[in-house]
Amino acid sequence: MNPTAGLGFRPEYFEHALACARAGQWYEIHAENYMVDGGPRLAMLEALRGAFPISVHGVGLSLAADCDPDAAHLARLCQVARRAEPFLISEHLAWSTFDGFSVPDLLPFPRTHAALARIANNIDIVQNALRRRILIENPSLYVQLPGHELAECDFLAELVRRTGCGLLVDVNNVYVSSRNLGFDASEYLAALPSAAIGEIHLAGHTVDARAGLLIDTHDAPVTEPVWHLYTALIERIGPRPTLIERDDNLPAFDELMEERERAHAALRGGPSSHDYAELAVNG
Amino acid sequence: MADLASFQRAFGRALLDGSSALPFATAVAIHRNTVMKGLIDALAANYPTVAQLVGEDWFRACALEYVGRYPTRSPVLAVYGAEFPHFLAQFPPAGELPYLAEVARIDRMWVEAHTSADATVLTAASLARLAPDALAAGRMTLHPAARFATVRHSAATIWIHHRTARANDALTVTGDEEGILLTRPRGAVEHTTVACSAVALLEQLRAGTTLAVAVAAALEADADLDVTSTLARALAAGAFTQFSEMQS
Repeated sequence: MNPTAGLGFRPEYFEHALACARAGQWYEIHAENYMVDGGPRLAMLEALRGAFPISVHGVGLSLAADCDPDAAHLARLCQVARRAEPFLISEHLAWSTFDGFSVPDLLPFPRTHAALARIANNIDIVQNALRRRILIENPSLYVQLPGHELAECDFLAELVRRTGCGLLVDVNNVYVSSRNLGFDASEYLAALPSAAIGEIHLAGHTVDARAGLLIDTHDAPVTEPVWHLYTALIERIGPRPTLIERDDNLPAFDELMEERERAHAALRGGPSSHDYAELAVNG
Repeated sequence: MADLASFQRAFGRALLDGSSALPFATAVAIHRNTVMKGLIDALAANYPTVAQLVGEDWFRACALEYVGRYPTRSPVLAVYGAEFPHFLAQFPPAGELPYLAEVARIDRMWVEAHTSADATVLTAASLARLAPDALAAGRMTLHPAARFATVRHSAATIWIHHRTARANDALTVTGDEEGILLTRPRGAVEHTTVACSAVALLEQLRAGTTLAVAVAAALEADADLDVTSTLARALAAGAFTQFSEMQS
């Protein structure tokens, strides 16, 4: 299928999501929300899957933990994949588990060669269990940790080379990290192996004025600098499935669809963001 | 540089206990904020009636203490907070709200009913062909989503009022012990109040006794229990998935 734009699915949007008739619409689900034995959540997923392509986005596998992925959690991910029959499956370059605890966040780590070997091994385990390629998403970073041995884009490129995984490029994360750590977002994007990029995420962030940082909160519209990076990226590498992510401070469905339409238009080489606003006004 | 596991243990511990002595204190503080918000939001989503009863500020302050004591061990937040009713029962600021922990128990039962496995519902009609003896000697398997309990302090009345009533409806409570049954017969979770002795009967059946034994035990506890209507209501609510006749 031609790469199109989709929306992060939230149960709050179920009726609207199911009724959406826009060409190329697809939805991404958070795998963990469907790791239940039965009931309305799974019924919702089944209805959605019957009508739209689904992408499965895991947030809890903790690929950067210094141990194998939790076998029970991986089995649950395989089960969600069987239910959702997704066209994409993705996870994060991050960790979230330690000492038996699991926290709802994507945590940073020193990008050492040892970490690279560990994470490549973990991606292998996951891809073998799922019997397919997964995409790995770049994180949002807030401070420079000590001990890095590889730049993030080189780290990701090396994971692609070693495991055959693809990349999910979250342009907002690149922007947030570039502002927080002081690097050039365009240069970072140019250094990624473009053929491996299988999906793009777009989301909003929050300014924490006190800490002087941008925080990746997914609770606001995509910002103009992120749109700018996005359109430059797809003009250079070609269209890729693109997701509008919103996980908090949820607006009306139609409001999210306006952002989705903007990404959709950009993917078709359509009007630029500026023209899109006019188009929307003129109906 | 410390190895990956040592780094993660130090970072993770600081994340949970809020200590900031590490060189990466800023990163810890930002991620701790995200972790706490994520867990508190998950707890609020799983205990909406408790949150509604106490208001947002009270709930978030209480949840912050709970989250600190019971960080999650699973990334599946849909079922986070199993110990919250027990925690609330021991939580000093909740001392003036004795019904709160009981309401929390029902919120938890709702989450369990909502996420339990799917199964067909046993209908009363399918039992109609059985002779009374065969019925008495058989066993009823509860539906995976069926949850029931006796709760104190009119918690069932309070819970149902907050889940269903319009804001202006008056609520009268007696403070009595009550029985509540949650089921999922057609997709959504449904609720009904039942007699406390009806809960005892359902507990007997869950333990795998025959219908005759369960009924006898329930009647011993409460001679006034209307067994026929209790079973009819439970069947109509979708509490069972299967009837097994005595093996001959």
